[in-house]
Amino acid sequence: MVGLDTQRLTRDSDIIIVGEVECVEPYWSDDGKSIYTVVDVLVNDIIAGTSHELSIQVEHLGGMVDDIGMGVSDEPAFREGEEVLLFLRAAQGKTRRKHAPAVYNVTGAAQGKYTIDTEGVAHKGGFSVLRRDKDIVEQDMHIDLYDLIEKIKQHR
Amino acid sequence: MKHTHYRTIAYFIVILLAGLIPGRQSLYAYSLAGVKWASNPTVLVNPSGGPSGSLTAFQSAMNTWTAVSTSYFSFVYGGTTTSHDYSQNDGTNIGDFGALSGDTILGQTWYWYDAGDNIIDADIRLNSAKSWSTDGTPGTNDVEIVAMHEYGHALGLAHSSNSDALMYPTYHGQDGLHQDDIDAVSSLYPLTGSNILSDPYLYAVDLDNDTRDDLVYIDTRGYVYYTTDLSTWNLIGTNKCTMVVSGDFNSDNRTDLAGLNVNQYCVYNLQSATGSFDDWVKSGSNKFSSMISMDLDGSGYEKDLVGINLNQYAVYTDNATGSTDWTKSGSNKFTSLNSVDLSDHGTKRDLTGINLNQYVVYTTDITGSWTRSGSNRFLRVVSANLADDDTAEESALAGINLNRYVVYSQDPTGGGGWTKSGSNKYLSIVACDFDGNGAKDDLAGINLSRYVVYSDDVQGASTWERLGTNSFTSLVCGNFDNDTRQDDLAAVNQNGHVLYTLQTGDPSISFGDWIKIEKP
Repeated sequence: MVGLDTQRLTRDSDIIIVGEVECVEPYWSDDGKSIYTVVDVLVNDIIAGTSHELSIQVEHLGGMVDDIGMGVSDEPAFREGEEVLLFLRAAQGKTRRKHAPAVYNVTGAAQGKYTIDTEGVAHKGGFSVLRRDKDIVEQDMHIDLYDLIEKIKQHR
Repeated sequence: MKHTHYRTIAYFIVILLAGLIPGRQSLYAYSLAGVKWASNPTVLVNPSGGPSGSLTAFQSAMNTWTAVSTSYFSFVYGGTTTSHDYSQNDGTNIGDFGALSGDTILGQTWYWYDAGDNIIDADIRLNSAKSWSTDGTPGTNDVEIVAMHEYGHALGLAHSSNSDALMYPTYHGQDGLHQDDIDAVSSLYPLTGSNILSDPYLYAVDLDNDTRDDLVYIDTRGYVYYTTDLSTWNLIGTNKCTMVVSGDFNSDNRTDLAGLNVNQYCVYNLQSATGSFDDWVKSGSNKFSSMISMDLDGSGYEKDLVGINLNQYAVYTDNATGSTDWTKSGSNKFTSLNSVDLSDHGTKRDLTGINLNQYVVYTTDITGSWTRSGSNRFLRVVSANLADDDTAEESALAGINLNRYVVYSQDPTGGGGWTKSGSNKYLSIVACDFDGNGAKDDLAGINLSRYVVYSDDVQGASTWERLGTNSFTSLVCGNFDNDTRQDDLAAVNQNGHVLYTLQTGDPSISFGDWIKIEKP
């Protein structure tokens, strides 16, 4: 895929948050041909954009329901308890859950997801990009969370 | 959900190492997706929409992974297709050019897997909105390299953190596999000793003519064994085979064996008068991807062989032990073949198969043409006696459709109306005779959870019963104890052991516990 640097990720996102993954719930699409996963993320901080929700929902392709699983390369994956910084865009469709707040997709598929380790370093990865984008993407592959947030605020 | 965890954790460990010790390239390594193929996948290619030479580029990409000498994994090229059914869990693995959501994506792999983490379908797609070439034209993307990267995902690899690896997230001039990629595929599919099969192969046949079925087992190295007492395995010859079938190939009323050896040649092994087998003998110079035995001419001897050659045509011979001239049947190409009794309801057998478009086709005259049965599309099909006509002998068909449901047709030559049986989804099915009425009118199968299930009322209530909680990779039925209740079941579990279960109920159908036979 085309590599998106921090400036482009910031510009293309409706909201950017830091949070903790609370729940990961896969489900079948209405046509029965695909599996999606809805991820509940407890919002700890809103870096850019606006939301009044304590928890937001992020949806991505792939997951496992009962006895069958589906995976798609370059799609993000989440685990419960994971600390993340997410670049998010409002999803076009509606969630399957009743009374649900807005649903988001990760901007640029897996590129828009940073996993934050216990040292406070944010790591981006799990996606394929073109050669010409190597330098811009790899600039911020592993970056201190505080520095990343500062960069985002500069680009906003 | 469990699988999401596996992938995330595997990736997280790699990233953590990279983050803690920056610049130490030796610690950067491949990552696995947590899923793998249980058997080598057949892959079709639709090169339309790509530049000249795309078909060869896709094939080269597959061959590069197949050629890794420390891995037993192989992509099996299945020919071209006009299908663009990317992303569908239809049992057909395709590579094509087509639209992908979002203009940022160059290529994508979409795969499906079962509860045992076994991949059951994988498609790759190169984004037709991008510029492609096969000759390194500046400003374009190389079909072979990008396809090779996507096929790496399709066989179960995630991204590597080694920047020299093909599976590194960034394409920056890699022109093939790096040692890290070789380590990755060898880790997932290790060629330990000399494995040639992902899982053992199991076949049921009465070898010693005592009316009780015996078992033939091929281990993952390709060595063939048989047991006539459900306990002791006997090695057959020193050749390695990937599959076997049975027949009386020299008309001496003893059961012989034929099969495919590791080089895909047909081989046979005649049973001696003392009941022993010697070494395997090569039959002709054709190569095959699969083979069945049957009685084509109604002679009463199951001595004829029908195979799918490497061009995917059905070819047959009535002289497996002779000079072996194989004759092509029609112009259809096939992914599988089965014997069925459609015409004389006697000893002569007819043929049914699944063609490259996944339709069931049949012929009652192997020298003639093939006819399509209905418009359903299938992954597997078996013959069974499901017709309401008591005199009919395996003139009906049951199969697994693209949604992995079992469907059956009582009259496949009469328009091929197919009816769904139950709501389970399956990996494989076999036709059996559980009630001892002399007709294979029952079905058993392995469902997506890899449990064995069976039904003695396929056309009625279509209820399927589960047999225990063991997980299996292959299943056969046979009358192993020579009782009047007829067929019992034997299967290979995920550790490569054969287990069998005997019928215990009379007149109702029920089975005892699974009994393990130690591996050879």
